[in-house]
Amino acid sequence: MVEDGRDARRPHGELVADVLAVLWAAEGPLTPQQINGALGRDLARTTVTTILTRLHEKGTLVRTRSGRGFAYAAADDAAGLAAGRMRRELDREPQRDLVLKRFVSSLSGDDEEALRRLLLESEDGE
Amino acid sequence: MTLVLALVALALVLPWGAAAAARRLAALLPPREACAALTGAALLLAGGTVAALIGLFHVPFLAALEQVPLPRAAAEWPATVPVAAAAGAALALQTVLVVRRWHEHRSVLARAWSATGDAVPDGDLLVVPGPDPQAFALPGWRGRSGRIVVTTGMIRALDPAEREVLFGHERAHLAGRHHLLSVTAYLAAAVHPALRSLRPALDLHLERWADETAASSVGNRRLAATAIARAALAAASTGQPGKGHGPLRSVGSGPVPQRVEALLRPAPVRPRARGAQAAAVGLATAVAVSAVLALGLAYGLHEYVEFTARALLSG
Repeated sequence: MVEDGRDARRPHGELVADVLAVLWAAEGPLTPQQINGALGRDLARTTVTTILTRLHEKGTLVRTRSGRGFAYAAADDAAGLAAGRMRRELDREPQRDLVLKRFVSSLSGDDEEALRRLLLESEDGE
Repeated sequence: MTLVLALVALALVLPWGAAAAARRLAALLPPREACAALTGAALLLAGGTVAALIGLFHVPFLAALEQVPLPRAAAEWPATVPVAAAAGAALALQTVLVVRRWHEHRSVLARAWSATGDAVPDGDLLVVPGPDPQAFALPGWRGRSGRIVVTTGMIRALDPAEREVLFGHERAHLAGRHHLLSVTAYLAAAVHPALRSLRPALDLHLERWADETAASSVGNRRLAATAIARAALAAASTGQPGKGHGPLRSVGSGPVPQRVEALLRPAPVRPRARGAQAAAVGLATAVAVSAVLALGLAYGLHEYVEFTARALLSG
C-alpha cells in the first residue's frame, strides 16, 4: 500500500466524500488516475477504483469507456429531484439554523468589505 | 412575608447580570470551553429561574398543607396569592414555550431528513446539484448518522484543500452534536428572556469550535481562514440581497469576519495570565452563584413559610 499514515487512518466515508467532491467539481468525466491526481494524495490505485466501482453500482456515478479503463462522472438525475425538494423545504424554514449548522452565514455589505480586506492581508503575509 | 417574597422575586433579575458575565467568560476561553460555559450557564440559570418561580408559586399550597386555610393565609399575607398566581402563569407559559420549541426542533430535523428523501448519501456526503454555494451539517436522526449536505456550487467555489476545511468543519459539528447545544440554549431562552443573549454568542463559539477542529485537521490555520472567507464571499455573490437568511446584521463585525480573523491569529489557549485567570474564575463564580442563590432563596422561602405557618397557628 502506498497510502500515507494520515490517509490510512481516515474513515472510508471521508475518502468517498473527497472522491465525489472531485468528480462534482470537474467539468467532464475523469479517469481514476486523474481523480487520484486531483486528490493530491498517494492513494493506492485499487482504493480509488474500488470506491468508483461501488459508487457506479449505486447509481451515483455514470461511466464511459476511456482507453483500457473507464472515466467517471457524477450523475445528477436522481439527486436533482431530492435536491429541489430539499431546497424548497429549507428555504422557507425560519428556524433551520437551529438544527442545520451552515458553513457560512450571510454577510452584510460591511462584512464583505472586511473579508476581502482580511483575504488580502492574509495573502500579503505569505 | 411580602419582604421575603420580594427577596425571592429578586432572584429572577439575576440572570440578566449572569448572562452578561457568561458571555464575557466565553470571550476569555477557547471555543470548546466557551461553548460548555455558555450552555452550562443557560442550563443553570434556567434551573434557578424555575426553582424561584416554583418557590413563589407554592406558598399558598404549602400554607394549606400546614393547616393554614387559603382565606386566612390571604388575609395574613396579602401578597402571597397574587404573587403565586403570577408565578404560576409564568411557569405555565414557560412549559408551553419549551414544549413548542422542542417540537419545532424535532420537526425541522424531520422535515430536513424527509426532504433528503431517497437521495443516497455517499460516505457522509450528500451532494445537491445547484449553483448557489451552500453547505451545512444535517444532524443524525432516528439511527441514521449525520450528513454533510453541500451544493455543487459550493464544491466548485473551493479548491480541494479548501474543501477539506469545509468537510472538517461540518464533521466537527456532527461529531460534537453541536445542534443539541444550540437547542439547549434555545429552550433555556424560553425560560428566561435574559438568556436569549446567550444564543448568538453560543452560535459564534460553536462555529469557532468547528473552525478550530477543521484547522487542526488540515494542519493549516491560514488555509482554514481563506476557505471560510472564500466560501462566504462566493455565497454572498450569488445570494439575493435583502432576502438573506438568518438575522440581518448591518455592522461590519458579523460572525464570518470574526471567525476568519480568529483563524489568522494564533490558536486560542486557556487564559494563562494571572489577571485573565482571575477574571475567568470570577465570572464563572458569578454565574454559578446567581443560579445557586435562586435555588437557595426558593428553599429558604419554603422553610420560612413552614415556620411562619406554625407560628401563626400556635400564636
